[in-house]
Amino acid sequence: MNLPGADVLSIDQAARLAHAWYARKLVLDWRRHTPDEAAALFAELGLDPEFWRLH
Amino acid sequence: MIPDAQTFDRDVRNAIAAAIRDLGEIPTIAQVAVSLERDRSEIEAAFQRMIEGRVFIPRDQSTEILAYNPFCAESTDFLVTAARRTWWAICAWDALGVPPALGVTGTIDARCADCAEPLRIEVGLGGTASAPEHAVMQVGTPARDFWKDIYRT
Repeated sequence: MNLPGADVLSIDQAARLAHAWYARKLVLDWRRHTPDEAAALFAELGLDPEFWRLH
Repeated sequence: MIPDAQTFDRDVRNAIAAAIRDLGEIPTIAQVAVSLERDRSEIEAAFQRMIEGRVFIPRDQSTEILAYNPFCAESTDFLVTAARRTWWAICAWDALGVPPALGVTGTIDARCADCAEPLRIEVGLGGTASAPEHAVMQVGTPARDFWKDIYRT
């Protein structure tokens, strides 16, 4: 059952998202993704641009 | 932020990362102070700046770390086995991120949020994973609202 208003990702999409988001979290010069980088990643993964917009 | 604070905060982040990677635990302020040989107050100030920068999720009414995402300091419904240790994550997204953060493969044991069936997901390298055929990940909060109530998100 889908949650009202939720976005549904395939496990493939979710795994790619998690890898891109966290693969560098423990490295020396980690930094947060900029909003533009995040938007580009979400678009590359084919995610709903309205649900995934940051502002 | 003044440059010295940026450098110091990077050192603090690296101390946190080292504790996670090498010891398998999210450190406390006191533990980071010992590892960097600095005053607790300096580490707490760095933690506060990181909270304001959304680097980690603090424990309620505290500057201690609840989740240095994707790693969570408390037990959750998302158990990850990777790098010969077990880890907790606060959500499916983070659970899928634990093995990549460690640079290894891993296994997630969780339950379907809909039917409560046990669910095992094998996480490979390079953003790959294998899961039961009908498994999906639902994200209930729009991205723009993630941090409005991060404990609910």
